[in-house]
Amino acid sequence: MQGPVAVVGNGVAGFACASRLADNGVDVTMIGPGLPHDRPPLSKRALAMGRVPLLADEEKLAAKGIRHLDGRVVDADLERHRLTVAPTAASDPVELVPEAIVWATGLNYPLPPVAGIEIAHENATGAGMLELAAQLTEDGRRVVVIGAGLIGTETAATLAARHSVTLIDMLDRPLGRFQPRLSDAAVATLDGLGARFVGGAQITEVVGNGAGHVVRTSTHGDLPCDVVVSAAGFRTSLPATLAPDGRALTIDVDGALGIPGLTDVFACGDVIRFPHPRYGGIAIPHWDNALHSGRQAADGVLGTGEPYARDPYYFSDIGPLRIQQVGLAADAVEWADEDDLIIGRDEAGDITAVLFLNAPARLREARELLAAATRP
Amino acid sequence: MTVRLIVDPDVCIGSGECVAEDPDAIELDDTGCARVLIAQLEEDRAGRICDACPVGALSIER
Repeated sequence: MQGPVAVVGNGVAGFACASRLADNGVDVTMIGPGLPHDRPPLSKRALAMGRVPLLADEEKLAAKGIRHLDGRVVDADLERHRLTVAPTAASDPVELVPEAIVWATGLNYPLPPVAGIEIAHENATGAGMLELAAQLTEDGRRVVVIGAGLIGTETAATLAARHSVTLIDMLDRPLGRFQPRLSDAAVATLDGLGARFVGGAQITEVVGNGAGHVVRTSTHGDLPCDVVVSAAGFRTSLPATLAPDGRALTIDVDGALGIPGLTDVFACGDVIRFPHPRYGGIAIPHWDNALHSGRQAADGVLGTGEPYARDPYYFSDIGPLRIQQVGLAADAVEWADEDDLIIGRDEAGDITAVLFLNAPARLREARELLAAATRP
Repeated sequence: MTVRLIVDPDVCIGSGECVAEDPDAIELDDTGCARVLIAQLEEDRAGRICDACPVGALSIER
């Protein structure tokens, strides 16, 4: 295929896909607001430096031969391959009718439904991170981070180096939905950084005034602060044509990452649920899957490549704590420590996940253990 | 012939792929950024580490 191909989305998956297509001589247009950048840009370096981690600037895009349409798709007729784009710069909508479409818009990170939450910042988009960083130029600010999942806990740990941080969640522990050992490690790390964790909390409202803000709870009283950061949950970015009920986070794709029922329409990154040969339909909203599925979607467009079968992998830096995991923890029914690897086994006794903390040199070994169980 | 491995910290995303490739030659620092441990490396070895990086954050200086 020579194109034109439209890649909708300019994060890790969209950019990886557009790059691969351009490298193969395809006429490709990448659609997304601003230059392609890593999302969520929560890395310590990004937040500490107040700089969005760009995947490419204008010069690099031009050198690669990727056309960039700075804007958002506001209407999509995927059967007819018709996209309507509202450019970021105030101008008339642009219509595209590409030969193939790749959907790579990731997840949205909306504010939770709490009265007064509008004053909160977020660290899940480039623009949000910049606004947050601008509030944190002086040391010693009192920061409340709402939501102790990966993004909130990473953000809290990063900010704790220079600020007085309180991390708050409705669950009793940070990373409370993860393997208990991760949660234990997060507790110890936050403690070591001097960040306070408030668990089992119910927020009733957020009040802003000139002298500072207050996060009100029905469980832990008032939490006065200077800055509020919201990291509570995510929502689909899929248009109504792909997520009719507006709630499904992901769209099911086939092994070539094509969307069943549509011709030459593909998806990649956080928006997909793909048929993994061992785990069945899984969604892996993390960096590694974004990159590899992005490349794979390009292969899908080109009609080349094997079915997508990337084993799940994610990594996270909670301050000095490095977390890495391969495989799928949800399938594990028992966990055992084996030579500093935390190994999860499924009902059949096969290794289904390998978790390791502060041991980046073990990644290859962890993958090999998983692969041996997956493809005996 | 030996070469120097260079990390671009603005590009490194801390995926850990380089460390998985050659943990004796490169590690992750406290910010999750790759840090080279051996000043001079055989060119083949440096090339394998470079190729492991998914984002092109590593380069070779001759």
